Amino acid sequence: MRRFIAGFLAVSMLVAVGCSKKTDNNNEPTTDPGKDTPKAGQTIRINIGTDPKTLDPIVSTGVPDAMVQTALFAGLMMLDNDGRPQPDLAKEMPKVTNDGKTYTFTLRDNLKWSNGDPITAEDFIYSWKKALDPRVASEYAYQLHYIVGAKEMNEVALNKVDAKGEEVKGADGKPVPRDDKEIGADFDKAAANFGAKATDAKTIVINLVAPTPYFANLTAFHTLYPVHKKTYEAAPNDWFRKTDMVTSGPFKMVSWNAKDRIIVEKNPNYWDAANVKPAKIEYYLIEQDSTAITMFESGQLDIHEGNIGGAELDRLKKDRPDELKILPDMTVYFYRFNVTKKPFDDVRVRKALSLAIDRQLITGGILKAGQIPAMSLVPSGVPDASGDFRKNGGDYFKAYDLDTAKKLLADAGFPGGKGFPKVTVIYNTNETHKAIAEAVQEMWKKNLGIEVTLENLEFGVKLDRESKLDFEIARAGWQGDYTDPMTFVDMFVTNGGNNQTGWSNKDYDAAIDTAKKTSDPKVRYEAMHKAEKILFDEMPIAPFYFYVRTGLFSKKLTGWEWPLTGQIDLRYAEIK
Amino acid sequence: MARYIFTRIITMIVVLWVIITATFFMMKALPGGPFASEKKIPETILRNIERRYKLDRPLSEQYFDYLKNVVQFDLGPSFRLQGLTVNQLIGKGFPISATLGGLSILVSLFVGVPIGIWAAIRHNGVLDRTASAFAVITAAAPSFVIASALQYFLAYKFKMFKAAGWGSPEQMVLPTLALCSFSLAWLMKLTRSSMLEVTSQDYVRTARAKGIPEMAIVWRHMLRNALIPVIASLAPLTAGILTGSFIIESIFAIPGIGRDFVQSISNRDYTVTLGMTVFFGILLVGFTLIGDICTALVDPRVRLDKEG
Repeated sequence: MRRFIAGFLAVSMLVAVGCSKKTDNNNEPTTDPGKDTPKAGQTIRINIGTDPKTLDPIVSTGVPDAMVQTALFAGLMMLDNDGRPQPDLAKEMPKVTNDGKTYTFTLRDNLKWSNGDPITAEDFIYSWKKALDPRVASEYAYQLHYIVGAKEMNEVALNKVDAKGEEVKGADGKPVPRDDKEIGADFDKAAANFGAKATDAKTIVINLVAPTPYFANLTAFHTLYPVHKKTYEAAPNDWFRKTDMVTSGPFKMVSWNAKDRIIVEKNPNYWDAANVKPAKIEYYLIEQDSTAITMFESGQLDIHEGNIGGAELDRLKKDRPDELKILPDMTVYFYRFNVTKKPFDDVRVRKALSLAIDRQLITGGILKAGQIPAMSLVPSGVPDASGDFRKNGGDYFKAYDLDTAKKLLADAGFPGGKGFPKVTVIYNTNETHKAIAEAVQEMWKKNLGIEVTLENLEFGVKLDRESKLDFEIARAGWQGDYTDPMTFVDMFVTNGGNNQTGWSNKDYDAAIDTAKKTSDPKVRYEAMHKAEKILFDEMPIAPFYFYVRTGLFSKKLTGWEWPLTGQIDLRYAEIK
Repeated sequence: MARYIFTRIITMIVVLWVIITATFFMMKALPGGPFASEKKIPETILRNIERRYKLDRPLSEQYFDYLKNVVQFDLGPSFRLQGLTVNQLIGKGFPISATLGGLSILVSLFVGVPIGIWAAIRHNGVLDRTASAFAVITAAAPSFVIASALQYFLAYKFKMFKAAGWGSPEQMVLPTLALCSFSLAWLMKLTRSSMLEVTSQDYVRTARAKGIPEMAIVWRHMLRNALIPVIASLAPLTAGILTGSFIIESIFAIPGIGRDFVQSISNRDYTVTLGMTVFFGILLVGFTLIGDICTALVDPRVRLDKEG
């Protein structure tokens, strides 16, 4: 008997601990799609897949973060559904002068933060300086490097340097770190040359290092959103976790329950509040796609944004064709060849392998969501000097050209695959990557007679090996940051951080350089087309397909927008 | 007794120290870091980030800094979840995981043990055979299969419960059922076999021979001995339920700490991984200690052995 009581006591202590803290969840969602709700007062429920790491727009990098920030914050520009910048906090499109190197933005009248404080031009300069401050260590700071002086501010030395700029070594032979104050002093010095200035309370003048036609797009990117100075300085590390955080966008924060949901409500101080339809948005943070889909189908969610795969996709195409949305995405799937390792130093081998991939089989048979086979780098939807960059550029090789592939392989010294070394394809653990890799392995065996092994690695491990060039073939993906071909083509410059193939071509570098320095749009886009052509003459990568975005949107929901490089924008959304 | 407890606590501290050190160096040995991503971060920005989070310090300095903080119960900030400390993460998530775990244990105990006792008493009867068969199935099926099945049939098909979420008593039913499936089966079988073993002991047969009613024998003589293995296994079972709730928490979208823990590993969020390891280590060692104390209190053989 005593034993039983002893055991019982141990367990009830546990339960007492567990039950003593009430979960501070909010009540169940207030609307049911289909119930007659008045136009004002609607709550839209969307699943964004996981907790944002942060809601500080200056340092955030993730997609869930950006989704909530689109509601809470505003920038000079915002993206419309076609991905084009439209004035948000700015009154109108910027005035561009000086050969495309000077942008002048004028703010609207009477802009207010969510707490009533006025939004001024200085708020933008303050926030941009913070984004460039090395002590803040924003990952996306490079999105501001287009501005004069920005790179120097961001790259202030972290260790002590002597008069020549060389690192000083301490007693133990290691560099001597500087403290925050020293770095701050140097930063302020460099900031005196910052090319962005507030010439008055409503005017911002920005001088760029080189003409950058997509700069207006960049001001719609969250890294360039302004933050409220007093709020930020009071708690630089976690001001965005407080429910009274001050914001500038169509909505303001109500509550954030980790792993459950974030609730925001309409911000009456937003300049366009009159046109903002929802009263509340609830961002659910459910990670399992299957759980979220079940919730959507039982009416607990209005939108589920996520990568809906294989089996579920087929079923949803049949069961909910008007709610399953498949939209083009500015992302390309490709394999990297390590051109520093034999036999991939031979362009004929690389081309042979690329031409022997049946892309149609992969997109039509394995992925089945309308992905588009890619015989180039830049996806559709990216503008050219006139028209669409991809449409004008076309494909750079035949999609599935076995004859040429076999001949090239023979020319390279491996007729019928004889003598071809055993190589390995690495990919990060994922059902889709596995299926594609297995299909490719089979294709290369059947078509070229070569054997490859497959190695699946944990994501961090794969990234590490890629950056060390410790691989033969590696699976990769790349998403554009803004709607301009440059976000794709400047990946493969010599020693570029995102190159990771060992490939280097002087003409390619020169073309990219021209595109970056010229202010003539025709010259610029021609140079980028030229670069793409060179890339596929040499084939250091084998592109597979362009991605699509998938999501489930309730058929009763209208007015939602999802621009190509932006996030789902719900400010005009209504449930009918 | 006091000396027994004292030596156990010292052992506990040593074990925890070993766990922390091993986890720390294993985490740091993994390639990649908290800020690795498909888009390479420019060199200088990466250095800014490493400086901000003190990842550029020599390994030994990071280690001793960490130990110093742990002793003061400061488990550090999360790298991935900006603005949150590990203490806050545990503070918010643990009560929820504990509630779920506690409920599962209670269900396992109050359903599993009585059924086990009854099955043993009515050995080879209908209840015994059904319960045993059912136990085999529930113990063999992985918890996520049971969880998905429950979610599909009871929540989606028959709409008896909400599919996911946490907060109302209704939402606690399915996750608890899924989580307790294994331990319920196991406790039932354990109790049953333990009872069966005790039943054939001499002192029980003596009691029967003396004419004491069966129920009195069960209550006053058999239970105390039969339940020793049950109590002894409660400790690892409890800790196992708390850690094993990760899958259940994912499937039912429950904001507990199991999920944080496993994700922190692939995120290379060192402080979260280490902090949760410390936390779970304390829990596991603590429960084992409590279990052993209870056993010692209740079973003189253990006590005398140790002290003698």
